[in-house]
Amino acid sequence: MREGRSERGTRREFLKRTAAGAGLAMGGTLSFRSLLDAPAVSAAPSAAAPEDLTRYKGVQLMMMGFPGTSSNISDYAAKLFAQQSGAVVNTVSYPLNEMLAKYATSFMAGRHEYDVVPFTNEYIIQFYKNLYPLDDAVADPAYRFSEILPSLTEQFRMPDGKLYVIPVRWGSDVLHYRKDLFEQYKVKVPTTWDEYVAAAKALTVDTPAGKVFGTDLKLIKGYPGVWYYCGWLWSGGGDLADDKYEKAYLNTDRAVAAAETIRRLLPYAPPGVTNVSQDEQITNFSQGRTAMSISYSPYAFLFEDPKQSRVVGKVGWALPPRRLGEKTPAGVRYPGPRLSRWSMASVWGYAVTKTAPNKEAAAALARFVSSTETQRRLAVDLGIIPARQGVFRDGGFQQALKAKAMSGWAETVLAAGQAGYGFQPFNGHLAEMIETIQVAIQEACTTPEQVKPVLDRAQGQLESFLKDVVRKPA
Amino acid sequence: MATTTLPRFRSDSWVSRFTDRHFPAVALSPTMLLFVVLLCYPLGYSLVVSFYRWRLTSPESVRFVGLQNYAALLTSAPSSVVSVWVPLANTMVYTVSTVAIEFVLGFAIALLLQRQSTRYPVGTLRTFVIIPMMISDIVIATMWRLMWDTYGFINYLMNLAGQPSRPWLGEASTAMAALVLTDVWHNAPFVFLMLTAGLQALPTDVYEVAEIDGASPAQSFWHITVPLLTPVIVITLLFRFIFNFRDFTKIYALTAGGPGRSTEVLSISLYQDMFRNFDAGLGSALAWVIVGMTMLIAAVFVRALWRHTFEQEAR
Amino acid sequence: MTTAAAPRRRDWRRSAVEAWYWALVAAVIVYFAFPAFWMLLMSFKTRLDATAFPPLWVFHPTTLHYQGIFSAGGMPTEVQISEPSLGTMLPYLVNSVIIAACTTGLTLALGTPAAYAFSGFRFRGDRLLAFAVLGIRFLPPISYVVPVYLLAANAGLLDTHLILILVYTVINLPFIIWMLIGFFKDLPGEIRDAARIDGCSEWAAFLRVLMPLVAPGLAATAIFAFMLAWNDFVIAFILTENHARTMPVALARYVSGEAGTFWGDVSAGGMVTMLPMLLFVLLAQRSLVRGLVVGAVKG
Repeated sequence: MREGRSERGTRREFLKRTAAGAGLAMGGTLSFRSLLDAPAVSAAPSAAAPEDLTRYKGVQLMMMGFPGTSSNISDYAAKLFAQQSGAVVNTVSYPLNEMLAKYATSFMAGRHEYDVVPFTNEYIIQFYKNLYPLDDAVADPAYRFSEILPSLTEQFRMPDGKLYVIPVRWGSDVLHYRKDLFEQYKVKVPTTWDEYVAAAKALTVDTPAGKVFGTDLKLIKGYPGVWYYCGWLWSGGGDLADDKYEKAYLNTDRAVAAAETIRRLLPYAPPGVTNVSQDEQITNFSQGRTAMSISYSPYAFLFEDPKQSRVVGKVGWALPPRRLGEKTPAGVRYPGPRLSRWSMASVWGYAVTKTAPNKEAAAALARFVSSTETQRRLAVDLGIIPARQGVFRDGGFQQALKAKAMSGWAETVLAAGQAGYGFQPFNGHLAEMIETIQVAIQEACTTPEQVKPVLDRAQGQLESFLKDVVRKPA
Repeated sequence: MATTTLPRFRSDSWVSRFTDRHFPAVALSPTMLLFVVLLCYPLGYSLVVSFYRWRLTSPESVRFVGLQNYAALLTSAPSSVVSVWVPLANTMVYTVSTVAIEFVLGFAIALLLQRQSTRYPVGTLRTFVIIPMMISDIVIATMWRLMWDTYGFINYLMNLAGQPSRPWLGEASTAMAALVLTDVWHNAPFVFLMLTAGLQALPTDVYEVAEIDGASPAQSFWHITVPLLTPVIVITLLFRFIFNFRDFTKIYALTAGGPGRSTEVLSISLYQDMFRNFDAGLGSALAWVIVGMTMLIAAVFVRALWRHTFEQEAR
Repeated sequence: MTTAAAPRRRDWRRSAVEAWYWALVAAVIVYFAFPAFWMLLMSFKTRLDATAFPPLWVFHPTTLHYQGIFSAGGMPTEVQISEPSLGTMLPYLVNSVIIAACTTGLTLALGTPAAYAFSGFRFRGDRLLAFAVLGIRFLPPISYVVPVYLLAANAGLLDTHLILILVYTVINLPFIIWMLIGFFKDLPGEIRDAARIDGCSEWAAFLRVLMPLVAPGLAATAIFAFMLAWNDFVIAFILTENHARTMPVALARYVSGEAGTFWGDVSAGGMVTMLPMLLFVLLAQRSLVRGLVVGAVKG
């Protein structure tokens, strides 16, 4: 798979090539319908026969669960694995911050209590040296690794060319909006930035149920705040840095334009935006206080749950707006006329630590969670967005979505996912860069100071971090 | 004082004689042993690490750099490192405000609830006052985050009073105030408890004499109560200062140091270094800067206290 | 007691002052106790009700959160899909009790002789040592915990009750020692001298004679020691996984999740964690304050 490449190109080159290779259209969104109608990827007579796991009988494995809500993925998968193999799998879950603290501590001490650990594309770059490469573990053709969306697996292929994490689930930001309010105030779903601002303004109204704000803004410190800004930045054709991560673009026109759009939205969002995290986004939207929310796609399940939301049945989904809609000029890195990657996507998967005593068993568990059968069950029973394409075709999954009146959701999500993108400089300074960027964004968007000078200052700091970029041959 | 009621023990075994002669050493040795293992080693380890450049993300590039980490902290020389001065200023503002306010408040409440009476259960009342001390830090942080929220309880009260809602934690001008108020709520009971005990031990005869002499309540407070309470006051201030200087959980959960850097205190910088940037060398250096500062200020308190406690014996 | 009118005026003024006094006391109690009361309410609210604005005083209560804490087998608390099915918290509660109790015992066992040594004897370096004892509290827990993790890992003590007990003891000792020094200084010196004259060894004097006299002070320090071990998060979190996990760490799971905070569960967990402490303090309240009285002041 990788032999055609002599020198390690940029990560984005990979994305382009493998996307093309997997037959996905470049430069446009893929309709869900075509995935449904496409013939089966492989003509193998039997669906992937589940691997015989009994050789791991009696093995003790420690598995860390995904943080927060998705910890039941790990419990569920661990139970299945234990049933089928006779191994003993213990799962422990932590919230994200705590999980990272544990990683840091244990890797510093040179040992890890866990065999199988979750990773997301945001943090993998900082830790992959403590993990065990998994290329061999997924090499078996019966596993059909290629069915996992390549744009996801590429996020986990590190500068040394090896795969360290097997994707399990993913999600991207979509625009959740209140169908009822849009109808009532005769607003159409925005596709450009100006339309979005106009819609937010029109929908900041006093209703009998209380004041409604047109939009929310998530600018809290840390990764979630930065990714929110990046959603705007990328959809405007801008970027944080160039292909090779040598030059920062934080003070370009496009970056300034994105920050200024956020500023324009301030009057139409609930006050206190610099302290809004996913928590507040969810709460405000599900309590009916905001009319639009660009947030993580799995929240749709939450919004459609009568026990957790007051806006059940009133929620619609759309792609987040782009600066000029379909006509947004391409970013600094893409020469083509149309923008192909511009929405925020995050992927979670499982990895094996280097200090695991029984690496074979641990790798078996890691790939088990992404096996065809397990992915199908996770999607249908737990409602995740699976990494395997084929699951979208699964009758059970479609039924589950229909039962929640979420038709159209999967289409939107997949479309957003195709356009998914991430920021991963291959140096160890990711966290400092995120911190610098976010402090700048907070200041630029909420203080009286002009946007450009703030971003100019941050640009200087960012450049000094980028000087540390690791450029190693594979 | 009949001494014949005391138990009789033989003290002629050599073990007895040994412990008698070296009683302090024997009494202190288990404690010191525990400290050597569980304190000196971690302190030493983090001191040594602070002299290295050790980033978790590139473990192969560990190397000795001497005082470079400290220099970076103090001068922000490579612009990639945030200097220690802004967090230090924030920490001092936070610590001084919280300690001062919670001291005054705790003292006032201690005076308020000082009356001993069999008619009403003052003990139970006191227990209610110290409820904040009994709740775990993480729960307190979560609860107060919701209370300070734009749609939280504090704003509900503001609305009832006719004021508009404010984004307490989202605005630089109010974020620090919100943090201080939360900590005051959390820790004033500690001051209350310490000072209540102090007040209860005051000898009543001195007050009687003062009253006969015609002293007003204010005069007897300032000239009798406060001087007698000095040891308790000093210990309370000392420990509250040490705790608040290092406070992390509440601040991180409420504002994570934002907006911008307006509430970033030293412990948050430390967390950022260790568990976000994964820079163990820099983090350890910062930890030692914190240790140094705390020690300096604590030494002032301790000197005053020690002099009061022990030199009194000379009389 | 002059004319008939005067006493009535004086009584009226006195009861006005009384009223103001009680209003003030009530305000203080409400100020400190209200958030806990709010937490109690929230532990019975569904997630939707918990974040309503204006806040709900009247709502449909649910015991799902408490059930989620105490039921075995991982019953999901409210929702099938997006909420974690966490199962019973009882083992963590038990862990907390064991660890806090042992910490208290060990702290007193080590701290009391140490405090007595500092208070009753002058020896070389006693001031420096006493200050050094204080020094533990200067190091932030975050940077303290990493080398301790290393040590524990090498000793095979990770995720055991023992390591937490030892670490909490080390952290508690400074405050306890300094408090107890005060208590011991409060006792008249003649008692020890009398015991010695009578033929007691130092240890016997300490154990049989002096310690019982500071029993109220021991109760006070016991509560503080217990409190720290009970409420601590950072150290317990880093040093434990599942086996020795304590309540605060278990509660962290409900907080800062990807799908937001589970308010009901956090509140229910918070209440459950708070109640043992509250009971403990209520019972020991009398000796607590009296103990602080005897000790901290005179020292």
